[in-house]
Formats: sequence, structure tokens, C-alpha cells
Amino acid sequence: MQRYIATRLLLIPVTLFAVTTVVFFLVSLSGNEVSLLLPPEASTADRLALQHKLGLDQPLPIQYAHYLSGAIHGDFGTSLYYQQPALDVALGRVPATLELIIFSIALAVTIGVGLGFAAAVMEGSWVDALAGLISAFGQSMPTFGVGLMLVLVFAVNLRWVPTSGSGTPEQLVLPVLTLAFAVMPTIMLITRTRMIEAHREPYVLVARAKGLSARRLWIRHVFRNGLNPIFSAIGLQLATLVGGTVIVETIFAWPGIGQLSVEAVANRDLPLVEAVVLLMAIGVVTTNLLVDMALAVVDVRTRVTQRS
Amino acid sequence: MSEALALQTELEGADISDDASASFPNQLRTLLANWRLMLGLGAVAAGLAMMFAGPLVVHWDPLAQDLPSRLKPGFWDSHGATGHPFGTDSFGRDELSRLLYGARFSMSVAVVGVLASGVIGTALALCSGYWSGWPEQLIMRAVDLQQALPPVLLALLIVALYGNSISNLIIVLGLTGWASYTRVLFSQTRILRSAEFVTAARALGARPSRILIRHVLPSLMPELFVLSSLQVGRNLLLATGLSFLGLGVPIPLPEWGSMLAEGQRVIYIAPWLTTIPGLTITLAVLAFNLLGDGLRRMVDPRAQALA
Repeated sequence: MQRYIATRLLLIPVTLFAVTTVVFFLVSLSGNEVSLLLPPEASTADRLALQHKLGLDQPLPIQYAHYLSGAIHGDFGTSLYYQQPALDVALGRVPATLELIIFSIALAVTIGVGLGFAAAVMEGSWVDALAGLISAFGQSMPTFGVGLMLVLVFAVNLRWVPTSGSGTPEQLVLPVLTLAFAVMPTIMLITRTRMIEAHREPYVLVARAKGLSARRLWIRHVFRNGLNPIFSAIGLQLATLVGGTVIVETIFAWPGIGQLSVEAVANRDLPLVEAVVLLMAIGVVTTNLLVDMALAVVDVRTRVTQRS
Repeated sequence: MSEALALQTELEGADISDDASASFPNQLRTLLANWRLMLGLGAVAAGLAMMFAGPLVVHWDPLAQDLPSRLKPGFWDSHGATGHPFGTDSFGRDELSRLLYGARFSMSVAVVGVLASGVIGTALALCSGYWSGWPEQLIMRAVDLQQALPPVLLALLIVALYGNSISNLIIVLGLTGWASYTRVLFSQTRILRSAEFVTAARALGARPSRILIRHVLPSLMPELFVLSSLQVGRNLLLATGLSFLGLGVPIPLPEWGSMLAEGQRVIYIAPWLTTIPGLTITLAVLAFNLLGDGLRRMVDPRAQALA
């Protein structure tokens, strides 16, 4: 058990290192960092001066070492547009995005696990058919399509909620619904499959032979046993969720890090793009590893298999 | 490992039961009963036919602007512009012909992206599945990392560095899609590595490259088709999403995602410019997902059991 946690913990710095390395080489291989940072009419002398200032005239390994030490100290350069440290600008937008993600994941898990469980219990019924229909369409609908459709119905036609912006609870409704819908169908599908699988285990037969009621059997035995793989699958949905915030925040003008990322690309603000991309990547990867670890600690089965 | 064993016994079991029901009418019946496969095949075929034949029927130039007749509704409105069944967009361009031409961009980007990620992912799966040890560890950790990261991050970086173009979009799709191929095909290769025909080929002195390409790869084909069909759907969603954000196919080229982005600006006065491309993307992705799901049920008896 300790060994499992230790390897997971060790994986965090290793992955962070891998991610920063990929970003560094992508940027330096492009070879046009300087022309991205300067206006097109800049003179050759200006270019060389900036190249020297950024250390781009140094050999690649030295540049790489500089970059890594900068990254460790949280220094990703200065945002060209905001004229502030890029990391600070990016970090300032994180709370808004977290708000969106937390509400969405809560909604998606509640509906997804609930509906998936119901579909498994009533396998073959109309509930199951409805769940199948929702998952088939849900997995085929683009997030931006869902978002715009919600805008059309609830903001343009019914006028229940505003089309975009942030600050009031009403403005939270559509972005959260859209983002939740991006992951809900998958969570529902996984829940249904896992529950049906768990229901076919031999212990279910034993429990039934003991005379356990169907309700007790499903809730006390099948649900609890099937829950763990569901949560690790939800951890994997985090990538979809973070990718979804970029689209959702753009549609609803939500001032989070996703909107900032698209804005930074449009402004050709390379240091900010790098900082935002690294921050999102690191956030997702670390959360995933932590979820894995938490599940391993909670689950009796991994505890036992790790020991043997 | 236990999963691999289970799969192996299942595959062996499937061989035996196949012999019993291998007559042609039986096979045809099973195939026709697979409604997902049939519906998916039909929808993909219909979509491709529209994509190729559509421009022969619709004579509007998808880029030709006609400002006086902009934002005109289509056939559902009596005040609609004549000759524009789906209406016109904010530059007076014909929405139907933009959708039809847009299919070419969205589809070809998605399909070429599938080829790229399929080649990378399969090659890595063959290597990591055949040689265990550090290559396997390295590749599988890379798969974990790739699957944990949102593809949009790579798109943001690439567009910030190189600008947006169709080829950059394909690079993003290829570099973010390989991991699902590697994950699935890796375990299959692991099983096949100890299959008798592979041992036989090795005993005859075949080099690993020959074993992998001539003996292992053909056995992976069913999985490869399933994955690729699902991957087209995934790529369509990703590519249109990136184009929606302005990170994909550059404007003014008609592309479904960027058409939606343009539609959003006039959502109050011309809602059809949002609904029609949105519906088109959904139906196209649904068609490929159904096809992939149907294929999977055909090759994997376990998926069928859980249906």
C-alpha cells in the first residue's frame, strides 16, 4: 500500500517534468518565438537584442535548463497583453473555472450515476431505453452545440436566464448545464455497465439465496461494489471537463482560464498561452493521480491485492 | 492479466460456437439484426453521397456573398429567400451549400486525422505489446499522460506558435488521438504474442518486424476498424470544436464549427444558423458512433452480452 502511494506520488513530479519538456520543445522547435513576440516591422537589431535578452542565442540544453528552473520557480515570463507575470494572470482566472467545474461535476455525477443505476436495475425497460438514447445522442453532440441550443431555448426564447456573463446565480445555470452534459452521458453509460457486471457476480447469487430483497441487494451490495471503478472513470472525465471549459467559457463569456486561453491565442500572447496550457495540464494530471490514490486508500480490494 | 486470460478463453470459446452457426444465412441474419451497424452504415453512406453529389445539385458558391439578401430564413418561412432552402447567413451566403462544402473540410480533416493517429497508435501498440520491459513502461505511461490531457491544450499551443490551418488541425488530431489505439491494441498484441502461429513464425526464423506486420497486425484488423470508426466521430467533435474557437479551419472556408461560431453572433435574429449546423454535426457524429458500436458488437461477444 505504501509502495503504491509512493509510486503515485513519484509520478506527479515525473509527469510535470514530461509536460514542461514537451511544451519547451514545441516552443523552441517552432523557432519563431522572437517573431511572435515582436511586431512584424521590428528591425534585425531589435530581433537579436530580444533573442539575447530571452537567452535564445544560447545552446538548446542551456535554454532548457533555464526554462526548467524558471518553471520550478513559477516563472513563465511576462504576459505581453497584460504586462504582468503570466502565471499570476492565469492563476487569477482559476477560481471562476473551478466554480464551473465543481458545480458541473456534482450535477453530472448525480444525474449520471442515478440514471445509470436506474437503467441497470430496470435493464430492458423504458428507463434503460431512455438512458441509451440520452447516451447515444449525448456522446454525439458537440459541447458548443449543446450550449448554443440551451441559449436559444432558455435565454432567447423563454428569457429565463441571461445569455452570458458571470456574477449572479442565474448566469451560472447555462454554463453548468452545458458542461455537465459534456460528461454526464459517459458517466451514465459506465455506471450502467459496471452495475450490470457487478450484478452478475457470484456473491449476488449467494445474497439472493440468503433471501435478501432485491432493493437491499442492489443498494447494499451491487451499488457499493460497482461504485469504485465508476469514480476512477469519472477521474478520467476530467480531461473532457477541462477541455469543455474552454468552449463553455467562450460561449458564455465566463471569465475563467478557458476563456483566457482562447483570448491569449487571439492576442498572440505566447508567454500567457504557455502558462495557461501548463497550468491546465498540471492541474488535470495532478488531480487524476490524487483521485487514483484516494480510491486506492478507500478500496479494500486494492489494499488486499497490494499486500499479497 | 486476468482480464487478458478471460478474453483469450472467450476468443477460443467464440471459435467453437462460430463453427456451429457459420452457415451463410445465419451470419446474414446476425448481421441484419445488428441495427446499430445497419443504421450507422446507412447514415454514413447517405452522408457521403450528399457530400459528393450535393454540390452537383446546389449551384450556389459557398463563398459568394450577397449582402442584400443576408440572414434570410429558409423553406420554413413564407418570407424566405427563394432558392435557399436553409436560408442565408450574415453575408448572404447560401447555408445549404456551405454545409455541403463544409462536409468536405470537416470530414477529410477527421478522416486524415484518424489515419495519422491510427498509424502512430498501432505502431506503438505493436512495439509495446511485443517487447515488454522499458519500452512498454515508457509507452504506457505516455498513453496515461496523453489520455489525461485535454486535446485542446495542444491545439492552443500549436495555433499560438504556427497559426491555424488545416494541416495544423490534422497534426493536433493525430497527436492527440493515438493513445486510444495504443491502449486497446496493446493488450491484444500481448495476447497474440504467445499465440501458436506467432511462436511458429518465430521458430521459422521470422524477424520481429515481419511477425508484427504479417502475423499480428492482420489479427488486429477488426479492433482497428471499430476504433477508427469511433475515432472519426471523436475527431469530428474535436475538429469542429476547435474551428468553433477559431483554432481550426481558418475562415472564410465553410466548416461546420466555424459556421456555428458565426451563427452565435446572430442567434437572436437568425437562430437557424445555429440549429442547422449543430444538428448536422450531431447527426454525422452519431452515424459514425453507431457504425463503430455496431462493428464492436459484431467483433466482441462481450459487448453484445452487455447490450
